[in-house]
Amino acid sequence: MAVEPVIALQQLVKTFQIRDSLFRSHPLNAVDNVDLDVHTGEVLGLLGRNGAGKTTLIKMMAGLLRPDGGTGRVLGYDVYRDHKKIRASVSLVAPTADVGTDNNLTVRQNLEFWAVVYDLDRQLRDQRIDELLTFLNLKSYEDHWPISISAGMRQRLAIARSLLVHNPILFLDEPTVKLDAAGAHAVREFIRKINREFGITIILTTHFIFEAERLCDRVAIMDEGKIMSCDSVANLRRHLQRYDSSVIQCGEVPESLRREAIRHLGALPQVASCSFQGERAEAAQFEISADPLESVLFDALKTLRAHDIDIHAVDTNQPSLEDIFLDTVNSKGAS
Amino acid sequence: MMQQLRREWASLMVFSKREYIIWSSYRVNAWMWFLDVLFNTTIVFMLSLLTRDSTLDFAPYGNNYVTFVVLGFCVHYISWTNLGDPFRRVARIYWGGTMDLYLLSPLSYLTPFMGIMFRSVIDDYPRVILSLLFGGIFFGAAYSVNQLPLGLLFLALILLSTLGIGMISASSFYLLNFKQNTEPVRFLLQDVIVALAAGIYYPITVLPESLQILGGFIPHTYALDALRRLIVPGGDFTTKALPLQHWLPFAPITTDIVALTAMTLVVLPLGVWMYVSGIEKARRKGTLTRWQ
Amino acid sequence: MTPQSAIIDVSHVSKTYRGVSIDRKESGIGLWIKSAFRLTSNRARTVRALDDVSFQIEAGEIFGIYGANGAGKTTLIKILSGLLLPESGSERVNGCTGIDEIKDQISYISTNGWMGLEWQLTVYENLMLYGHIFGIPTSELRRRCDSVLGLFGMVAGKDKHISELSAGMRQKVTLMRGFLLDRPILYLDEPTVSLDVQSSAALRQILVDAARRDGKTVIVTSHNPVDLSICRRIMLLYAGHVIALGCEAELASPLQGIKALRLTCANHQSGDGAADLVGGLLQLDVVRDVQVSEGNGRENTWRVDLLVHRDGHAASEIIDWFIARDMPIVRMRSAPLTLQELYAYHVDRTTVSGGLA
Ligand SMILES: Nc1ncnc2c1ncn2[C@@H]1O[C@H](COP(=O)(O)OP(=O)(O)OP(=O)(O)O)[C@@H](O)[C@H]1O
Ligand SMILES: [Mg+2]
Repeated sequence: MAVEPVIALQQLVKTFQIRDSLFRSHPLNAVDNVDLDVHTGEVLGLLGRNGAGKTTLIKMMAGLLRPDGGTGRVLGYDVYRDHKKIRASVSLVAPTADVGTDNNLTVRQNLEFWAVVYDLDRQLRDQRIDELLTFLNLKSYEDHWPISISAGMRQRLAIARSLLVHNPILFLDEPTVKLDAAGAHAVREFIRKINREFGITIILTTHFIFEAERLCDRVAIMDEGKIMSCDSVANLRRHLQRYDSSVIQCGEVPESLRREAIRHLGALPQVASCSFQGERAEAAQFEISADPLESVLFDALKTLRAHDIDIHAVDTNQPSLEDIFLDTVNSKGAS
Repeated sequence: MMQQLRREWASLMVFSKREYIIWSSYRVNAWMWFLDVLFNTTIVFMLSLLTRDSTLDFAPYGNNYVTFVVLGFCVHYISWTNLGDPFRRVARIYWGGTMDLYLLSPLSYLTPFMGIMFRSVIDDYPRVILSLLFGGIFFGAAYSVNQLPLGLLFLALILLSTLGIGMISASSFYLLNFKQNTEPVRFLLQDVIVALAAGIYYPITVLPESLQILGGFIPHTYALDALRRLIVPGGDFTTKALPLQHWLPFAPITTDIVALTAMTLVVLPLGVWMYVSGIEKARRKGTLTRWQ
Repeated sequence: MTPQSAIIDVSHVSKTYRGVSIDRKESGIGLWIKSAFRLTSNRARTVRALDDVSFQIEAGEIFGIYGANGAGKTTLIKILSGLLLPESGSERVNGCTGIDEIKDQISYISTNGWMGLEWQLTVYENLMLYGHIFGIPTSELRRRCDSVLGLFGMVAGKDKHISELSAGMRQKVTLMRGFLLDRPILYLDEPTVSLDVQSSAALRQILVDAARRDGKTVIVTSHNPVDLSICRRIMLLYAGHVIALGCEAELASPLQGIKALRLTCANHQSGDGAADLVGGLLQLDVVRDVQVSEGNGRENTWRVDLLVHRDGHAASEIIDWFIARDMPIVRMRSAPLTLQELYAYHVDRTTVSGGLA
């Protein structure tokens, strides 16, 4: 790629000494020879089981943890020498909502405090805070103390804090944890928005795999400190070597019409197979396998409708990111 | 550079504002604060009644016991804040889980540390003034102000040197991984040496030789010596009292200045360095942050 | 349900908090003087956290609670476990009504804040400490510790200090701690926070086993519908009100004539595409409700979630609509209504008819 990546890590290692007893300890590679490039303006998802090393990797990229081996540059700064500069130009949301929330200050006072600490322009402060409060639906709570609002609200406050300044990189460690459906949705939309509008590069971890599928341009699947695979969801799906299939349930289809439809469907490009099941009229269904399915589904539907076949339901079966994730993590465990 | 300074200053101000909001939102604080100082000075007054007719010799430190002890209190309050508080301050930042968030800002390592100090400034330093006032108004303390500039110099020196020791004590939080309430440097200095050998209630000269020498290793001794000579009415500028004053060929006050300056110059940079390397160590070991 | 079989019986419980908020304009010396002399103009705001809540839970049941942030779940558990006195109404937990007895009936597993774990101790030491606090004899405690460690797959990490654990591992420690106590009722407040997919599935199995094999009563709150899939009945809580209670089919019964169609279509147009989509689709008679959001990543697609009437030719009509506009459908599924959709429906229903504030 022509553009220099915002984050480039080579063979990055972090080893913790785990104490067994008073005098003995053994090393644990929490992050193990990680190579990773993050491109400007992308949303990268880190997926992995508990203890896979996601948080450790994020901390190293944010300059909060010193690597024990390998090289890395973040925004062009060296992770060993210029960690201060890295920290000053990235934002981060920790998964524990109460971090950085002072219970003695009101919601608004909290944000005003951090706005100064993060050196937000004086003129921008009030406007930015209002903007964030409104967007995260915190406006009606601005004069409340954080202890008196719910955990989910406090999580929003933490997110608001990290977005006060628009730094070029934003790390989100489990951003929607503890949020209700509406809150999580709002946060996801917000992540998308700041990524689009301000070109902020976002690196997030989550255990809601569908969330990564929705938001991320690429996902890196980690296990035991190593990155098992890192690619766009579409490419990861392609590696699975499984045809996408689609079941189209229809109303009654006369014999002649069915043959005609099958012939037309089979002739569509990229269709691997096409079949018809259904003795009883109400359970008639076409099954189509194709690679990729996305490009032919609409033509198939058009064909059926052109033959005036009534469609009751369509179910496309694509391996979801969750399937891919489990596949990757489990296959590694088996070998 | 200017911009950096401006930024750090602005942050210090908002840290202070926050501390102020916290402090003032606990109503009891204000009353406790007032009563505490009043009680302390009252105790001194009672003591002074006892000692009025005794033959105890305050030799170089003038003739007003209340002033003598009120000055002791002043140094004690300063030390309590500058030496005793930093460890708790760092602990508070850590247990609150915000250390890493401060680090993720453009601020220097020291600014959050100094910023969170404002609580002490509004809570403890005014006690110094308050106890001077109470002593003067209610209990007959008298102050000689002929040597005020010198007195202020000593005030500055004791502020800086105790802060330096405080930073050393604070750095053990990360450097030695002391996460609990007691911390060795602070315990040793504040709770043992200062309590024993700093001479808040009595002149250090009444102590046995060994304790006097021990007292020679803390800045409080020199600050108290000088401040009392300068401010207690009838203080004497020439009679040597402390062991170091006997050993060095200078006038007592000069010796005090030399000793305090030397201590400050050693302790303050050492404190800063240890604090920074403590954070660096935590950054290596992964003990900087509480969240995972 | 007969009252005898109910292990938890809550009737007409209400609780109001007096939330205090300070005025933004107050600061500086004025604030100080005001607060020192109790002159603060603290406008007390009252929050009705629970409003006339009644329900019963049978012994051995897995019971789910679903509700938005701030719906009153935490207040409810505090009342159930005797940490908070209800303002009005009564409760009976496992036959007990007195506050002192109630508090020993429930093992409350919460994950708020720093979880109250001892930071300087190892996982095992934490468990032992907690068990000792509750007076479990040492040998018995050892046995139980080993068994919960095995249950949650934490045997390898049992000598790690809490500060060395990852977020999910810490969560597992709080879960294990709750399972140490042998109490008839388990209350899990968002138990799968930070847990990975496999661990959440394992936890669900553990809960099912606890209910089936050991006859425990399990109450789960979660924002993740998957966690509630094991529940026999689910209670929907909104702003302190119980807006619906029943098994998933019962919750869905008012929406029987409705099904959900979820499709993804290409987004060729620029401009206000989402609003056009919603407006256009709502014109169709079969469509009851539409939600449009942006599709995955940078695919440049729309996700369209439709609630359509079951009878009629909904799917065909909608497909025709997209064909007419030449907006290719790339994915399509008909799935049952999500818990969130049911929740939204019930919230709508009660706020419109019941006139909730
Ligand atoms: N400060 C530390 N000291 C010792 N070990 C640590 C430390 N921090 C993390 N570890 C270990 O490193 C491994 C990776 O932890 P990490 O927090 O990166 O996992 P994670 O992928 O974020 O998991 P989760 O999804 O549960 O948050 C774990 O085995 C953990 O125990
Ligand atoms: Mg983590």
